[in-house]
Amino acid sequence: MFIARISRGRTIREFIAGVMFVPTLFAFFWFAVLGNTAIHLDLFQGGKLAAAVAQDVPTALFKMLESLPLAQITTVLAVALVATFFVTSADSGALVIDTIVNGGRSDGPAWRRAFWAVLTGAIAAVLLVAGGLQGLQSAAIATALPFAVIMLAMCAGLLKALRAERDSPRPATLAEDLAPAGEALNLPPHVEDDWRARLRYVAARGRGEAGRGMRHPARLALAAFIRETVLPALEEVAAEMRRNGREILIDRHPLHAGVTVMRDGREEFFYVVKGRVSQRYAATIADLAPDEAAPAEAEIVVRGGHSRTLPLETLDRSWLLEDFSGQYGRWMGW
Amino acid sequence: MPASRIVFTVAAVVATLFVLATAFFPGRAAALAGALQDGIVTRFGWFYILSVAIFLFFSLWLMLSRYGRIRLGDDEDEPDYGYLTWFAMLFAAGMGIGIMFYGVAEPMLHFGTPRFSEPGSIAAAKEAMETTFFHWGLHAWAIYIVVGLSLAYFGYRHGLPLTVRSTLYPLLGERIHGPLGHLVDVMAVLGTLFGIATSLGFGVLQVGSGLAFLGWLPATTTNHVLLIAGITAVTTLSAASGLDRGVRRLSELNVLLAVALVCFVFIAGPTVFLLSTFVESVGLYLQELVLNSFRTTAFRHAEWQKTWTMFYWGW
Repeated sequence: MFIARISRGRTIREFIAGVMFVPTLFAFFWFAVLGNTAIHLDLFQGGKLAAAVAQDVPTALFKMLESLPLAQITTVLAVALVATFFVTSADSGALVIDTIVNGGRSDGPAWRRAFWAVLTGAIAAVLLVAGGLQGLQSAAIATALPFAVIMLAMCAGLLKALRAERDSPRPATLAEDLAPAGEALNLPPHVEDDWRARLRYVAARGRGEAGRGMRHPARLALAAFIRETVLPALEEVAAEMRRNGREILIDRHPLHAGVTVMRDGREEFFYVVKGRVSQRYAATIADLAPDEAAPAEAEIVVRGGHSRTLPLETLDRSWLLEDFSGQYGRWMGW
Repeated sequence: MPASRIVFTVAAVVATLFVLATAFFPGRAAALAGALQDGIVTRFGWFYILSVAIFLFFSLWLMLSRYGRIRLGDDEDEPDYGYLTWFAMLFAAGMGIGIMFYGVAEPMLHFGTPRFSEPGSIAAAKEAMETTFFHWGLHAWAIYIVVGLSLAYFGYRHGLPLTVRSTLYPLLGERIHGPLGHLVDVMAVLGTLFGIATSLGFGVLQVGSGLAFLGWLPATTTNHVLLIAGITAVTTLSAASGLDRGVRRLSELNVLLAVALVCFVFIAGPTVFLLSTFVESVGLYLQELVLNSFRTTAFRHAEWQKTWTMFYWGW
C-alpha cells in the first residue's frame, strides 16, 4: 500500500519499471555484498560459517560482521537496526490494516491502530512459542493461499478496466467504462440520445460531481486558484502584450496554466504557473502526510529563469502581474 | 465510506481467537500448522509457483503494452513526488526485517546445502547467490506491483476507496460494498496481520540472537516473548499517544543505517571479490530466471522448496 500511496501521478509504465527494478537492484547489492563476504570467509579464509549458520540461523549476520573490523560496534548497530525496523514495521503494518478497515482512509483513531499493533505482536509471540521458525513459515504460507486467489482476480479486474478505458470514446467514470452499452450517465434523457447534445450539455456545464481524482482537497484548492486567480491575471497580461504587438497563446489546464509570448511567429518568452501538491520524503507509510493535509503550492517556470515554488497565499493577481513583467524584462536583457 | 464495522469485527475476532487458541494449545497448534504447511505445499505448490510467474509476466507485459501510458490519477496529474524522491522511497520500501534476517543467512544456507552442486564449492557459491536473487528479485516485487498497481489505479484514477475490495470492481461491480467485499477486505487484513507478525517474529529472533551474541541477554523463548512485548509496547504507546513524530524520524534513520551497513561491509570486506561476484550473479540470475519461475519440483527437492520458495512467495 505504501508503494501505491507514493506513486500517484505516475504512469503505469513508470510505476512498474520503478517498483520492479529499483528495490531489486538494492536487494541484489545487499545480498551480494553481505552473502559473498560470508561465502568468501568460508571459501578462501577457512571459515566455518556455513555449518554455524545451519545450526543457528539468526547468528549469520553477526558471525559475518565478526570477521570484519569494528565488530562490536557494527553488531550493536545491527541489533539496533533490526529493533528499529521492528518498530517501524509494526507501526506501518498497523496503519495499512487500519486503512483497509477504514475504507481507504488513513485517518483512523489512534486506539485502533494501537490495537492492530498489539494484535500483530501477540500473533508473533504465540507463533514463536508454539512453533518457532517453522510456525512462522506455516502461518505465512497458509494465509497467503486465499490472497493469491484474490490477486489473480485483481489481475483480471485490472485487465478488464484497462481495456474498457481504451475502448470508451471519452474518459468517464468507472461505472460507465465497464457498464454494458446503453447504461445511462447522469444526463436528462433527451440529451442522452445524441452525441452532439451530450457534448454540448457537458461542455456547457463543466465538471460534473463524479469528476474523479479531483476530490483531493489540495487539488481542488489548486484548481480554484488557477481558475480564479491565475487565469484572469494571464488574460490581463495577454491583453497588454497584444497591445504591444505580440501574439499570445494561453495554455489552460485544470491544474496549471501559462502564456507563451510570440513575436513574428517565434516564441519569445513563456510563463507557466503549475499547481503542485507538496510532498515530503517518507520512508514508510506511517510517515506519509495524510492525503487531506498535503498543502498546495504553485511552481512558476519561466523561460531563462529558475523554477520557483511558492505557497499559494503569496500569489495574488497583482503579484503575478508584477512578476510577469519583471521576469519578461529580465529575460529580454534588462 | 464509513469505517466498516463488519470487516473490523470479523478480522479482530478471528485473529484474537487464533491468538488465544495457539496460546492455550501450543502443541496442537504446532502440529496443525505443520500439517497445514505440508498439505498446502504438496497440493497447491504448483498454484503458488504458477501464480507468481503469472504476476511477473503480467507486470512485464503491462509495462511494455500500450496501457503503460495510462496515468495513476487524472490524465493531467503530475506525480506527487519527483523522480529522485520517489526512487529513494522505493529504496526504503525494499528494506526491512527480511533482508536483515536473511542477508547473510540465506546465501550461507544455500551454500551449505545447495540443490545441484557440491556443498561448499565454488559452484555452490554461485548457485547460492542465484537462488537468493531469485527469491528477492523480480518475482517478489511482481507481487507488490500487482497489489500496489491495482490499489493505485482504482484509487487514484477512478476515485474508489484505497482498499482491496475496490480492485475487484470490474468483476463485482457495486457488489464490492456487500458481503463479498467484506470478505475480501477481511482476507486482506488477516493476510497482512500474519505477514507482519511473521516479519516481527524473525525480527525478534535476530535481536535475541544478537543480544546473546554480544553477551547481554541469553536467547531463550521467554526472552524473545518479552522482547516482542517490550518493543510492541513502545510502538503501541507511540501510535496511541500520537507521539508518531518520533517514530517518523526513525524510519528515515533505518534507511540510512542500513545503507551505511551495507557500504561498510562492502568497503571493509573483500571488495574486489564482491564487485565481480555481484556482476556475475546478476547474469546468472537472469539466465536461470525462466527455469526457476516454473520449477515445481514435481520430481525431487520438494522439501527444499517447501522451506524456501513457497514460504517467500507466501510471505
